[in-house]
Amino acid sequence: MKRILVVALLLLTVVLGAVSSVGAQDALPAFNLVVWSSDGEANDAILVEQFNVWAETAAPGSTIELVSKETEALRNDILTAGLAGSGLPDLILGPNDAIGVFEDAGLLQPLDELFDISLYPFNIGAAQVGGMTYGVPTNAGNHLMLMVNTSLVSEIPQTWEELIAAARAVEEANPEVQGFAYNLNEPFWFLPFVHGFGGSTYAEDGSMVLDSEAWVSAYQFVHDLKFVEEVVPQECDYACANDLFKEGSIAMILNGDWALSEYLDVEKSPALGENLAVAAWPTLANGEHPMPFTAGKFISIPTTTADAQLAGAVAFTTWLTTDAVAVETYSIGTGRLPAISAVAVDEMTDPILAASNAVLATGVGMPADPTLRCMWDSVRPSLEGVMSDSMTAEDAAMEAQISAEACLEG
Amino acid sequence: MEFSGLDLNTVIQTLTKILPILVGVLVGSLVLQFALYQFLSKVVKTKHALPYTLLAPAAIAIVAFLIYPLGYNVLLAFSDLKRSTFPCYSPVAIGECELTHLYGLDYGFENFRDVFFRVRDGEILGWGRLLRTADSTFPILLQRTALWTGLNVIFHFTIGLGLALLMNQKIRFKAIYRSLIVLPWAIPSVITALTWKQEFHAQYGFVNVMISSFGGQPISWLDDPVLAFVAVVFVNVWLGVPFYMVMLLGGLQSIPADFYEAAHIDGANARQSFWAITLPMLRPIIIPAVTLDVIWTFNKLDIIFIISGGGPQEKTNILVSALFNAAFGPSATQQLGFAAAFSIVIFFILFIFAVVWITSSGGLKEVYDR
Repeated sequence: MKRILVVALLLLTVVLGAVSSVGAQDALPAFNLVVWSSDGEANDAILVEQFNVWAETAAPGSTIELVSKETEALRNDILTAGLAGSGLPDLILGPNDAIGVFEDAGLLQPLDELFDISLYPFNIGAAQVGGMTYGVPTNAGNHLMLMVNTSLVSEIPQTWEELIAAARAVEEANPEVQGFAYNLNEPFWFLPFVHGFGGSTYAEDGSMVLDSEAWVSAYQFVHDLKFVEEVVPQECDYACANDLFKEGSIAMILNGDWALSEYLDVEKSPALGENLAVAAWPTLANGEHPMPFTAGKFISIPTTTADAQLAGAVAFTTWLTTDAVAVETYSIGTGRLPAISAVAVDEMTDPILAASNAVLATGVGMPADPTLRCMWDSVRPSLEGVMSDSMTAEDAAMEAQISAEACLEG
Repeated sequence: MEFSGLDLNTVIQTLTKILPILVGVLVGSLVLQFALYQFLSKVVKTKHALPYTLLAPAAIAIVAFLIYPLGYNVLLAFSDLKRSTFPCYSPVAIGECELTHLYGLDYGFENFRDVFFRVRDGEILGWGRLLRTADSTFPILLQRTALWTGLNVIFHFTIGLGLALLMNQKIRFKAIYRSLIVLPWAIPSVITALTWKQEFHAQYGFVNVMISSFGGQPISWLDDPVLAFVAVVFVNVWLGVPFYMVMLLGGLQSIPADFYEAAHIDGANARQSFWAITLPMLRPIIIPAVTLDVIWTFNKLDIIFIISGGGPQEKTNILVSALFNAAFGPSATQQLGFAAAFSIVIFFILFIFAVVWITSSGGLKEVYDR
């Protein structure tokens, strides 16, 4: 009996040892992951929670240091750290147009060998430069939509005439409320109008065209919204539109999917919550919707991330972007659309995301080409000129073209 | 790590990281200073071992934080450092470096030339655009900088002198007025700029609320280039007046009352006393104050950067804000070699101004004479 007990104990020890060694082989060694993100603090908080969930079983004892930055600050800080040769984070989370800039500077690792790129069928092209992949999407979208406070506007406007009428009706009924507003002088909010009038940034031969009939029509349209229809405020930037919409002082705005999680949270947005509705941009007189740029948010890996850090970063990113539950939590849970086909939006239970999905289909894919910066930077002063009524639409388009050509020359 | 705002946990975590570094630097400095003192007194055997030891930290700090960055800036001006050449200069960037050399007079020549001219295939096409628009050429930016500096210094001086003369009178509650006037100087200019930016908002800003309450039409201050320039000048004047008031009030209080009594006996009126006594006696204060103010205002980045960002249409940029935007702003193309050359040009403009102004005004004569 005693011998049987000893043998049984020995067997148990061997089995337990084997099990624990298998567990130890599966789990990654503890590491500290440094992430720089421009995804907004509300979404970043969920990212940190997700890391802790993942690390609990996949890399026990691991920690995350997440630094939230504005998009421009993220771009500059990455380049500064890259030049210094130290201080780069392990992961970068940002929009796809920054990827082209970082790739141009040689600061990103190609990800084709590190991830199964085929898992991301919708928007991986937005993170590819020269046939190589430099970002893994955490979501699809980053697109601007019409967002409506339904307690102030009961019917979603389908055309710009309807929107203008609805905005005026709101202002007449509520003198303290602005009917409609958006980030007036920011080119990202202007490009959808250009696309709606049939324009684009690049011609078929790849040259940059910022002085076409469509661009002129778009400048004229936003000018008239302000100075002829007087339907937008004299001055409004992102903070103005976002903050006043949250507190119910603006009835309709144009904003991106990144803001949805905040708008659906009644603590942060007391006037919204269930009063929020999302819709496609109203159609123009030519019958077309203005078409927002679409891409998503992407995770990139700098060249300095190596060894345990790289293994951990790849494992976490793979889990975050492909595990069904993780995608539900981090993508759908923050009001964004999933970038993988395995997770779909339930249109019945989530009408906001379903609407966002419908708007996404009307969008134009944003390339990661670093020359796109020349377009943004050249259009900004022209748009400011038009929106201060000190420049005609024709001059604005012509100036932007001259400026872009100088920019492309380097 | 929990993601959180500035709460006690975050403060403790930050201190936990920073404190060991601070203690390490402190202990390391003391050890190094002791070693230096031993070396100077025992090996070099100089009688100035103690002063040299005490000066060493400041000397090291000047070299590390002033001379080294300046030297590096000059080196950058003779480089072709831009985003597409990062792999040549960055130790962590991947990709092929196509440059034959990293630094050279040829790069320096091109960088300094590009500050002034736009060149294609060796042919000068016109003034170079430091940013994106035709309003960002060197001569236009220099003119705007001169206007910005001139307006600010004139208003700083005249309003500051007026307030100093008022505060030098026997009036009630003088201490309270003086404290209120000095208040803008005590507030960090970044906070002042952020506050004023909101106050100039077309719809919700205090300035337009006041205009509307008097029956006027709201003004889009920051949408119009001229009005935006007025707004940034106004804020910088508001910020700069206390400096002059404090300096000039100190000067006024040091003028002996006998001078005014003598002038009064000789029949001089207040205006004659001002021109014949007050201004000449204030000259040793006015000249250095104006010199400092010109240099500070010429280089004043934060007000324009925060309130207008150099816009609209890049029409409120001065040289330094254009430089910042060229190197790091939204329109930045990360042409750091060019930006370094641009900064050296600005440095020489100020250097030449300072030499000419101080020499011609004799502002530091009394200092040298002593």
